[in-house]
Amino acid sequence: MTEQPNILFIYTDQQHIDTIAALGCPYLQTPGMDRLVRQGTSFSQSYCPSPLCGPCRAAVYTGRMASEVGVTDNGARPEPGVPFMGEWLRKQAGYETVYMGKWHVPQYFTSNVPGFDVLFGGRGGPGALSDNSYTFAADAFLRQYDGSKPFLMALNYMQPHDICEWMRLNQDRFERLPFPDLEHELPPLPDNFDIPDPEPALVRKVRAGSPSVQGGWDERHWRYYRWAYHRHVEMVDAEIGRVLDALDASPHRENTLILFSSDHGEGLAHHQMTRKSFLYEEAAKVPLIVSWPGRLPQDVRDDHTLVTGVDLVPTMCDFAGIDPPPKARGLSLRPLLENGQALARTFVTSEIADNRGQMLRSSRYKYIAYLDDPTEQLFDLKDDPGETRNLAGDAACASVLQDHRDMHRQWVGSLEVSPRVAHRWYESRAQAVG
Amino acid sequence: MAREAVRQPLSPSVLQRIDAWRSAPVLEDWPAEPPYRRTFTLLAQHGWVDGSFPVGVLELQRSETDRRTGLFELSVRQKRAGNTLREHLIDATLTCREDALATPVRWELESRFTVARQRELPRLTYRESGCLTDGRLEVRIDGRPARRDVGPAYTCDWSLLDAVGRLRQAAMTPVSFDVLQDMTLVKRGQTLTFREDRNDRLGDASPPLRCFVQQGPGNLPYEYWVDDEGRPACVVNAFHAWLLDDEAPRRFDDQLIRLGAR
Repeated sequence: MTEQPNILFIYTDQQHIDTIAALGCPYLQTPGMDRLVRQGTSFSQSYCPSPLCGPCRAAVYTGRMASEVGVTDNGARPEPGVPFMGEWLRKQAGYETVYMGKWHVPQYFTSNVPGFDVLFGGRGGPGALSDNSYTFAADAFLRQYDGSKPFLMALNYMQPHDICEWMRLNQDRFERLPFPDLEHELPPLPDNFDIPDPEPALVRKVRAGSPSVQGGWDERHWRYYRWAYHRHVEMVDAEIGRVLDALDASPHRENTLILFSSDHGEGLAHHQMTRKSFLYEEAAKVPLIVSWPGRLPQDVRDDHTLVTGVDLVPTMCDFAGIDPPPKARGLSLRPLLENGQALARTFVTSEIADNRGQMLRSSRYKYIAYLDDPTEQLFDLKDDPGETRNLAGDAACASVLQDHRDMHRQWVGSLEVSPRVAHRWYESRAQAVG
Repeated sequence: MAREAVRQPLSPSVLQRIDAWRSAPVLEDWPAEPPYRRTFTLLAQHGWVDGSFPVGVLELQRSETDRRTGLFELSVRQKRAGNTLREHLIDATLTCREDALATPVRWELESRFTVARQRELPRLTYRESGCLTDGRLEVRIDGRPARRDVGPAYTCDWSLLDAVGRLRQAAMTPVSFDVLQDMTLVKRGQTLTFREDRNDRLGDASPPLRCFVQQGPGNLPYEYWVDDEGRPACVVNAFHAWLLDDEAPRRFDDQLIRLGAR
């Protein structure tokens, strides 16, 4: 067995991938995450397995797709018998497994996270103050832990998810900016602010339910929302910085692998979307940084490798010297991180809306389809990273579209979907697209 | 039935309108000058009209200023509710300067987590002390030195609750400083500004409250709503509010019981 590192898994909630200053975002300061960037490998083609909290967490913590775990919407209970990250690392590798923060599979906050000793969770309030309590607990644990066993600490911050609360409290269009001196700080609208056409009905429905539509936001309101979102990210960044300080001051720094990611992204005004529950890049992509100074290369930017949240459990297992749980979907990133060895994969996927929406991202293209909706989407992410031109109806892309349909069909067919999940993909797609 | 969104930023009148602040304080009952004891309910607001919950309590006790040293003591007890049976408690004793920012120049802080208000969770107790020496902050965590980089003008969030009481001139110049949030998180480049254009009331008969705004990187704006005597009636930070409330400790306990947290 290889030497088992401690594992610190830092997981934010609803963080847009382009919200780290060291990776080029000019609208905020993130000294904490910048440290991780400098000390690790950052992946820019990183996707969540489902852009909604509960399903994504069920997938990431098991290494299987949410539809397989039976958690395809918030509030759903996982299938019994599917091992979770904490259970697997504790039983198979003897790890001390501790947990802070939000869970949401299905309870938001609970002391019953499978395989973990929950040190502190939230109490139903917005996350900013709960996050600070998690940090106090993590800080103390890291400084005091005796190292008798390797530890797995899952630190699940709530921020920047509080943007949901913020939007409801700032829903009505305002005559003047609530804090006028912020006018010069407001970020511009994103380049892909416009709505792609055609667009699946479910995406339009998600947009219509947003506070931005309910409140009739104008350009300045959108920009104020973008400003506020970046402050939310800065809040959690300060917590992360403090945890890294505590780790640096502890005896465990040299033997601790850090994985940093988020459950899903945030619309952030791209395509006039807010929040999540859709499959455009802004919700489907998430930050992913892996860091182990002294053991893994540092300050590496990987802009090519397709990675997904279901890779995290296999990666942890690989470093811990154990096999991943049976039927885990993801791949270990360890060979890539250590030796630059390419992953044996041609696409990653994400699923949403009770398994009614699915996304397949290949090296160049992204294909999106919704159950019972004839409007498919195909984007050339090389030439159109903002997903502004839907190529699904472009005759010149017919073979690309068919290739992606085929890959998607094979992928769906390979899933061992929970019996509780409606699984009508083949029949319905066949009827819809002929 | 669909839940109703609040739709507007929180303020004293919005908090009362949505019934989140049912017993607004009679400010005259609270001492304006030290020594004083002030208790605040920490309210979380989810953006729904029916989405307000007490999630914590903050108790501040301030001594008179020692005329010889120009310093005063500020005792802090803060509780936050966690998941089932758990609470996060912070006890701190600060020695502060009687200056515009109530600058903390010495402190002792202990953070701990308890179950059922009795059993202390092991491995989670955190202790730090700090001291301003020759213009530099010397911080020790569990007895070991730690860095806490702040500029010459700094304060902490608890001190600000005292300091805003002395910043009540309408023509005040914006103050710039760094903040130690819970003493442990450094938020640099903050400013505190009087908002001449904004006031609010705790009901029709009450005197107007004035608003001071703290802004800076790493934070959404904090709004301090203060009466003419310098008593902070409430502080709003987006979806959180600290409400001056003599029943705050009891209200917090009731909430924990109601939620089955014990």
